[in-house]
Amino acid sequence: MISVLKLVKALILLGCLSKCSAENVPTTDLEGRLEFPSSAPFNITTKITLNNGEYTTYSRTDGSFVIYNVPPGIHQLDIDSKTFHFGQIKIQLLEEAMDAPKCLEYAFPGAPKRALKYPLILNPKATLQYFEAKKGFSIFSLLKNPMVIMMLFSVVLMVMMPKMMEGMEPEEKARMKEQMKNQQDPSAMLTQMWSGITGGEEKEADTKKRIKRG
Amino acid sequence: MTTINNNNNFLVVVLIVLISVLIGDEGVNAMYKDDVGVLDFSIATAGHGPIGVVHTNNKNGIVITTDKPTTTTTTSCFVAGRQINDGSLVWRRNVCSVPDEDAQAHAIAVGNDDDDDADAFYTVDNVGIVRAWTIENGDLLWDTRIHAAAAAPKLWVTKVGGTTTYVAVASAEDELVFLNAETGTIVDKVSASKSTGNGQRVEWLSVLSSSTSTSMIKIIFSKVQVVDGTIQTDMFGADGDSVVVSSLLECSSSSGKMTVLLGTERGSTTLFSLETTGDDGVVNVKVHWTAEEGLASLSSAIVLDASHLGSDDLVEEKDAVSRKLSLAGRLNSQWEDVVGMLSTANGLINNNAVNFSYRDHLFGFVKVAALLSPKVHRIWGMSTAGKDRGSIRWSLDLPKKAIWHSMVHGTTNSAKATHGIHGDTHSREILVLSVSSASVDWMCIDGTSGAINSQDSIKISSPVVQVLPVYGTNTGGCRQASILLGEDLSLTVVPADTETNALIKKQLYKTPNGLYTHKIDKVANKVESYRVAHTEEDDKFVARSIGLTSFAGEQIVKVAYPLRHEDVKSMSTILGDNSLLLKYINPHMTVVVTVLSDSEHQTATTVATALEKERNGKAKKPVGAGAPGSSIPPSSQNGSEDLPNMFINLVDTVSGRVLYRHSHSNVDGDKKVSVVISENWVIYTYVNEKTRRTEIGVLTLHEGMIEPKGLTFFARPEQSTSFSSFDARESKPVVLSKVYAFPKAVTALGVTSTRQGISRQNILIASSDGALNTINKMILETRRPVGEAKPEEKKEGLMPYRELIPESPLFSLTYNQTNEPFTSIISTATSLESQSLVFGFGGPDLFFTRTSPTKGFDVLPETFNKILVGSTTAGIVIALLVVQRMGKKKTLKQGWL
Repeated sequence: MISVLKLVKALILLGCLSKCSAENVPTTDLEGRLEFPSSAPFNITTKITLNNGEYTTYSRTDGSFVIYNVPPGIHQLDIDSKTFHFGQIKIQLLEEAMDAPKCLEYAFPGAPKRALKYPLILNPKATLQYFEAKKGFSIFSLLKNPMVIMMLFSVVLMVMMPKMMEGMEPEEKARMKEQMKNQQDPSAMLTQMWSGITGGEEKEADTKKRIKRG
Repeated sequence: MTTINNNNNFLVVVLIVLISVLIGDEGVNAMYKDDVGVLDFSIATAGHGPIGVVHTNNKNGIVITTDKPTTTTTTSCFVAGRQINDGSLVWRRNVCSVPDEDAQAHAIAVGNDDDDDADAFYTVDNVGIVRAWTIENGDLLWDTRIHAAAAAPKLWVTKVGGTTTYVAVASAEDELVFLNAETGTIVDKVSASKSTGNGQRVEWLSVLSSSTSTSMIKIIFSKVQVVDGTIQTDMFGADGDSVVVSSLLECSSSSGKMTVLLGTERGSTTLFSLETTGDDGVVNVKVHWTAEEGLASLSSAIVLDASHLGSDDLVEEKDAVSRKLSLAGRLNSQWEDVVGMLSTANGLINNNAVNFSYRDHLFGFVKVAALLSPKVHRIWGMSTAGKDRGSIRWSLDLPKKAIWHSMVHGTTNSAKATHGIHGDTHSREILVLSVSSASVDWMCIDGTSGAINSQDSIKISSPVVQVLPVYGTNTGGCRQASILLGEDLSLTVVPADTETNALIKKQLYKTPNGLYTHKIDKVANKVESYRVAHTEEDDKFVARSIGLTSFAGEQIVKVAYPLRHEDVKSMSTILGDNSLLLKYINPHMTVVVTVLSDSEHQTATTVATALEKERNGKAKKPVGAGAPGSSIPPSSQNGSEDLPNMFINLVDTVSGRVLYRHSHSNVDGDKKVSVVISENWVIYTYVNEKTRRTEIGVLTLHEGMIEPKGLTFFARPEQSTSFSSFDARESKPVVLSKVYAFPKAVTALGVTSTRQGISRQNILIASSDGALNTINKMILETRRPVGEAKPEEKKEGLMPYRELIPESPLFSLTYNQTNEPFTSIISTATSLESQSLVFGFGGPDLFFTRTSPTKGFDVLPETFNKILVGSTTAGIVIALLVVQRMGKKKTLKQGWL
C-alpha cells in the first residue's frame, strides 16, 4: 500500500514538473516586413503562417508583421499571397539565443538556401500566373497548322497547273487528257496497270491487230 | 460547270479545314482567364458557424459577425464582414494567435457608429494579442501584446474628452489596460481587481473625464452570467431553429420601417425588414438575404444527378444516357444553345426557361449536392449548375439530440466487383440517419428535391458502431437501406419494414459468399470483421466474428475506403515492352493508418530489433513492416529516432487480415494524415517532422505480370474474374512504393472521377494555402526510374524520379481565389467521359468546378469562339455564291464567243 502511495506521489510530482517545465518554455516574437522589390511597403493584407497554419497573422498596411509567442525550435514561415510568390523561410530559434534567430530563405521549392538577416525583410520572387494565355485569331498561327499548309499547297497547284499546261505541245496535252480520262475510271486504270506489269497490254495490242487484219 | 463544282468543293474543303483548325486549337491544360466563373463557383461563409456577436457599421455598410462567446473558449476565431445590402462576404480574418484550436478564445469591440473615426474594430485573444482592423476591408492596422488577457477575453472601446479613443482590455492580472486606438500603444493600466473576484466581472465601463486615471473611470460590475444560453423566440424559425442573436439595423418611426438581422442556432443569418404601409397598419415582411453559416462545418457531401433527361431507375438510366448522347441529341443541344444565345443577346426569341440549359442536362452537368453539417444538425441541397448554381434548393433540420448524423447512398458490396466496387446508384434517394444513444431517427429523402419520402424512429439496444449500406426496395420504406451494427453486435435493419427485411435476406442468400461488415475500434485500436447471418428461429440478423486485427502499441489515426463509384476500365497497365502489369483490385480493402503511441512497446518489437540489426550492418528486412520510405534520412547517432512511427496498413475488412504493412519514420503524429485509394493506388500524405516538409507516399498494388509473349491466341494465363478475400493466393498484393515531397502542407486528397474510367485520373490535392491543385497521376507513378529512363520506360511516358513534385499555379483549380483550406474533396462523373466534377468543402469556403483530366476531347469548351466559326462559315458560303455566279457568267460568255 505504501509503495502505491509513493508511486502516486511520484506521478503527481512528475506531472507538476512537466507542467512547470511547459510553463517555463521561453517564447519570442518573430518580426518581419514584406516589401516590393522597389523597397516600397507591401500594402496588400497578406496571410502569414508559421508551421503550416499553427500560428497565423496578417501583414499590416505597411507590410510589417509580428508572430507572437513562438517557442524554440525550427519553424517554417510561409507567405500566402495569391498575387506574388514569396520564398519559404526556415527559422531556427535556439533556447539560448531567442533574440537572434537564424533564418534561411528558399526562393523556390528545391532552390539553394540563402541566409537572411533578422528582422526579416521579404520580397516577392515572382508574379503568379494562373491562366494560360489565349491565342487569338491570327493568320500566322493558322499558317503553322499542317492542314492549312496542305490546303495552301493545293491552292498553289490549282493556280500553277493551268499555266504549266499552256506551254505544253498539243500531243502531250491530248496524252495527258487521255491519262486523266483513265484516272476517272479506276478499274480501267488498274486493268491498264496490271496489263502493263504482266505484258497483257502487248497481248491485247496483238489481238486488236489480228482483228483489224481479219 | 466543272470549274464551278471544283470551286465549290474547294471552298467546302477550306471550310472544313478552318473549323477543324479552330476546334483543334482549344485543348489546353490550364485555364483561360475567360473561363473564370464559367465552370466553377465558390461560396464563402463567415467561417465561425452560427453567429454569436453582431456589430453593425452603417458608415461602411458592413455587418461584423463572429462566433458565439462562451465564458471560457470559443469554437472559432473567425471574424467576418458582410455587406448589409446583399449579404456578400467582404472579408474574413482569423484573429487568434494560439496554435491549439481547442484552447482559443477571442473578443471583439467596435467603436460607436456615430463617431467619425469609427472605421476600425478591435479584437483580443486569450493570450493577450490586441489587434485593430479596418471595417471596410479587414486590413490590419496594428497589433500589440498586453501581458496576458483574462481567461474570458473582453475589451471595450471608449472615447475620452470627445477626441481620443481608447481600447480597454481586461487583463489576467486584474487590470484594465488602456491602449491608444490609433497607434496601439499602451497608455495606462487601471486596477480592476473586482473583475475576477467575488464572482463579479467588468460588464461595462465609461470614461467620465478627459483623463484615464482611476478616479475618472466608471466601471459597472456584475455577477458572472451564463451567456451561452439561447433565447427562445417563436417569431422566426418555425422549423425548430431558435434565434441566438438579433440586431436592429434600422428603425425609423417616420417611415415605419425596421431592418433586423437574425442569427439562428442552426446557422441561418437573415436580414429582413418590416414595413408598415398605409393607414391600415399592415406590416410587410421582406427578406433581403439569407446566409447559411453552417456550411462552414460540413462533414460529408453526396453529389446526385438531377438531369431532367435522366431517369431515376437503376437499369434504364444507361439506355437513357446513351440515347441523349446520340448525334441527333447533340445537334439538338447545339441548336438549343444557339437559340439561347440569340434570346439573351437580342431578345429575338422569347425563351422563358432561362434557367434551363439543354446542354447541361444532356451532358449530365446538372447535379445537386446534398451537404450535411453535424455541428448545426442540418442538411442542404445545393444546385451546382445553371444560373442558380451555389444556391440552396432545400434544407432539412435533423434532431439536435443526435450524437452523429450520416447520409447513406449506394452500397459497398457488389456482386461484380472486379472492375471497381460499382456500389454507386443512380437512385436519388438518400437515407439520412440521426443516431443517439437509444434510438435512430431516419429519413428517406429525394436528394434532388429534399422531399421526405418516409421517416421513422427505431430503438436500438447499444450504440451504433458501423453502417452497412444495402439496396432497399421500391415497395418498402426506402430504395436505400442500411444495416446498423451495434456495439453489442446486434444488427438493425433500416427501414424496419418487412419488404426491406425480405430483400436483405434475399441479397444474403443470393450472394455466393455472404454479406460482411466490420468495426473499427479507435480506442482499443483494432479492426474486427463480421459475417452477416440470419437466424430462422427468431427471424433476426446477427453478426458473427470472422477475423480480428489488433494494432497494439499503436493508435489508429485514419481509415480510408476505396471509392464506391469508381469504374476501373482496364485491369492491367501496358508497359513499354508490351508486357502487362496486373492491377490488384480488392473492393474489401481499407487503409488503416496507425501511429506509434507507445515507443517503449515499439523498441521491444521485432521491428525495432530488425532495424537495429540492419543498422549494425546485418542487412535484414524488418519483420512485419515494409521498407521505410526514401524520406528516411541517414541513420542518426541516436538509433531510436529512426524507428518507424507511422504505419500504413492495408487491411481486408472481410477476412480481417493485414494484406500489407508499410512504415515511415520521423512522422509528426499530431499533423493530419490524408489518404485516398484510387484503383490499385494508395496515396497518402504526412508531415516529416525532421525535414519539416509534407511528403506524399504512393503504393501501387499488383497481382503480377504477364510477359509480352505470355498472352497469345494459344497461351492465356489463368485469371479469375471474381474476387474472394478468403483466397489466400489472390488476396496478397505485390506492392511498389515511392515517396515524394510536396511544397505545401496537404489538408485533403481526392481523385477525379469519369464515367467509364477511360480518361486518366488526376490526383486532387488541397493545400494549406487554400488552393485545390490537380496533379497528373504519372507524376506520382511508383515505377519512375531512379537515374536515366530506359527506352521502354520513355515509351511508357515514365519520367526519371525527382523527389520534389513541382507546384505550378497553372495546376490550381481555384486559380487566384483566396480560400481557407479545404478538408474534404469529392469528385463525380458526368455523362461525358472527359469531364469530371470536383467539389472541395469542409472549411469556411466551398468550391465547385468542372475539370478535364485529359483535355475536353468530347466537348467544345464553354468559351469556344462560336462567333468566329459562324462568321467564317458565313464568309465561305458568301464566297461560294459569288464564285458560282462568276462561273456562270464566264461560262455564258464563253458560249457566245
